[in-house]
Amino acid sequence: MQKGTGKRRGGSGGPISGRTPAGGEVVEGATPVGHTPGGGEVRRGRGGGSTPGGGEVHRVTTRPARAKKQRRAPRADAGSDEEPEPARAGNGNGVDHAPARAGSREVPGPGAVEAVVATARTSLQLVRAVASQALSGRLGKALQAARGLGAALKASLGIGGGGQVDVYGKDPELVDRLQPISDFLYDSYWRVSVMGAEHIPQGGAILVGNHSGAIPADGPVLRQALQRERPDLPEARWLVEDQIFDTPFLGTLFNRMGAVRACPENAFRLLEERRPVIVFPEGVQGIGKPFQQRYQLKRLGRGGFAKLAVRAGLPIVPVAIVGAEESMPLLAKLPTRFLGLPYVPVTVPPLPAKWTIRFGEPLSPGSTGTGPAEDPAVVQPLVDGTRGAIEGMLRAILDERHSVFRG
Amino acid sequence: MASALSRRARMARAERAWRVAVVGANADLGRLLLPRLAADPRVESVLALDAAMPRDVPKVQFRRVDLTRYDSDGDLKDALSERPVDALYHLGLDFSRTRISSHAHELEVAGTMRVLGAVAHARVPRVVVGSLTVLYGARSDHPALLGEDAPLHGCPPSRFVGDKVQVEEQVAAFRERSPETVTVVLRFAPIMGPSVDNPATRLLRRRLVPTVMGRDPLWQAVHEQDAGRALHLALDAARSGTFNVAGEGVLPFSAMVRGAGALPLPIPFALLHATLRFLNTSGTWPVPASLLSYLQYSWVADGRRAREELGFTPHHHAREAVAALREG
Repeated sequence: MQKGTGKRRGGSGGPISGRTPAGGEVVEGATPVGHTPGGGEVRRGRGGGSTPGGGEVHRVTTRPARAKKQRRAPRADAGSDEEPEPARAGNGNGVDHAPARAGSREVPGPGAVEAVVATARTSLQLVRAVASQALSGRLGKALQAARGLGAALKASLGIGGGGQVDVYGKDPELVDRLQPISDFLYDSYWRVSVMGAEHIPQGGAILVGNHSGAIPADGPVLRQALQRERPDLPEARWLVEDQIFDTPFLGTLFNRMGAVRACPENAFRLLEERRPVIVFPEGVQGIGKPFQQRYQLKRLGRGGFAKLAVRAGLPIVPVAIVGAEESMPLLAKLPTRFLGLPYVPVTVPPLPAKWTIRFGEPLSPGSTGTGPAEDPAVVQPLVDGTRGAIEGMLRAILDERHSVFRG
Repeated sequence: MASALSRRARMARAERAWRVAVVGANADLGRLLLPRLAADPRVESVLALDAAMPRDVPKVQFRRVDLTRYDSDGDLKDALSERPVDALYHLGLDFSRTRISSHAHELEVAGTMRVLGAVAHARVPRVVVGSLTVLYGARSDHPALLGEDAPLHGCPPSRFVGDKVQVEEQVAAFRERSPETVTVVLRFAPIMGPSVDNPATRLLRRRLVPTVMGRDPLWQAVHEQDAGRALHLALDAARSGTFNVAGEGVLPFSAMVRGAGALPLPIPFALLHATLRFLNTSGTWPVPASLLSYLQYSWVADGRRAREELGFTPHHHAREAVAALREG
């Protein structure tokens, strides 16, 4: 890893070597590196900055000694004259785009403080550029993921903040930070394959899926599938039943990730915004069933989703999700009513089962309006139709599946 | 015929300069409103009614009325009848540090009864009452946005909140009884700014703010300038109605705490509740344990109606409102 980045830098940094007359300057760009928080990055940055030639390996060994000298050096230079600047710019040049900006910003001014500030700023950019390049590999992703997990932990503790939260409670900054993790799970770990996404109509629809997995990840995964496959639609939201939404920690985190409390008012408001709304009418019944009953649909709630479709005059899109049951099988339930929770699931860390999501043909309500929404003759066929469609698709996917993990 | 006449009379009254009475002129809301009324060219004079004199504002005549006194009915009736009043603001809400709930009860519940009685007696054509979105309560079964028609659940363990719900009930009954009076109720989200003092600002002005671990409810805030503007706009409301007045956007409570320059300290609910109750009895904590539900569940009011019917659009985001706490 280190060698690789070093080489790259050495190659692109070729022209630099000519421009580094004094050791002090070369280092200069690198010194502030010492001030960066991440120790790992520091090294890499310094290596990059001080690689005029190709001998990275030697430099690695000499680093510690240099670092100490350099730390003292830069301030003096920066204040004294403009000589270091071209060198610094040169340094940057080898690394990334940062240098161009750096050069233009650093007009040699009389103010010593400004020069120091500018130096620090350039160096910081440099470090960032170096770090991002060096860390573009696996380690970088792991670090990003760790940072995302940290943010998620803070959010679930209830100290995450979030100044950009929307009225439903979604924090776009947190979602951005979690993106590396959700991308990894989606692409590499669960290898989600999606079929029939073209069935989702524009202008709002109710997506009804089977709920599964000890910890319900199907909502966020389905949301991501829609984001990937149907970027033309407004962002989908998934509704979460009270028992989960009210759970401390998990409920709070879900809310910040974009979950909305399942109630008619919220669903209607989301549909008015022309969004696809994801619902799992089975609710806790769905995720609370033992592993032996996987992919068997429970009662679809009280048919609230069908009433909603009738009232709003919007179609229902049945969705079958396979893979969630095996990735987080429910092994046991710990009775924790005294904590105010229905139960705490016992499961394994998420397993790499392959996920398949299939969207069915939209089912449109026969008649629409508030009156028919209370009429069982209108609502019940819609519930039964949805149930039949989901069960059919589940069976089809399970029949086609050869292996739980390979698909 | 009679109603046409009275309408003409009222229109004639609207032609000339207005006289506006403000009950609770020296409370936070009153102090935000008085300068705006004074600057309004349509307002000829302002009659400030309070137990304490507000600081000097032009056009304002002060008359001492203590709503907690049983004989304040007479004072109010005299004050309103000697010269006709075109509009009356009832802003006598108690946000003080007092733990003596009987004082708040007397001021708010009995006081409102007296004010509304005097209003009916003097036939004041327009009444504006200040209320709070707190009255919806913080509950797990709230929708994301609470409309004005949502029931006022209040916060059952808290008598302070219960009193304010009773005030609204009285006002609703008054509105039924006297349809010829334009009765406007403004429900304010927590008002924040350098000059206001209420339970929310007292909590957020601490350096370390306890929060319920695992919870981060959505809060709103309205900047004191926006609150003053909304009050002033109610003078032009076309008809009776209730309006939520909130700043732009929502914030998780922890973001509010950070915005106020403090640090959130998450504490498990049971521990926090027990600690607060203990501290409440010893009298050191500014926030009663009974209000803890507001740190657990979201209570976000929908400001759409105020925007559409009252023409009130907040100038400040909740972030700015909270940040304004640091100015004071």
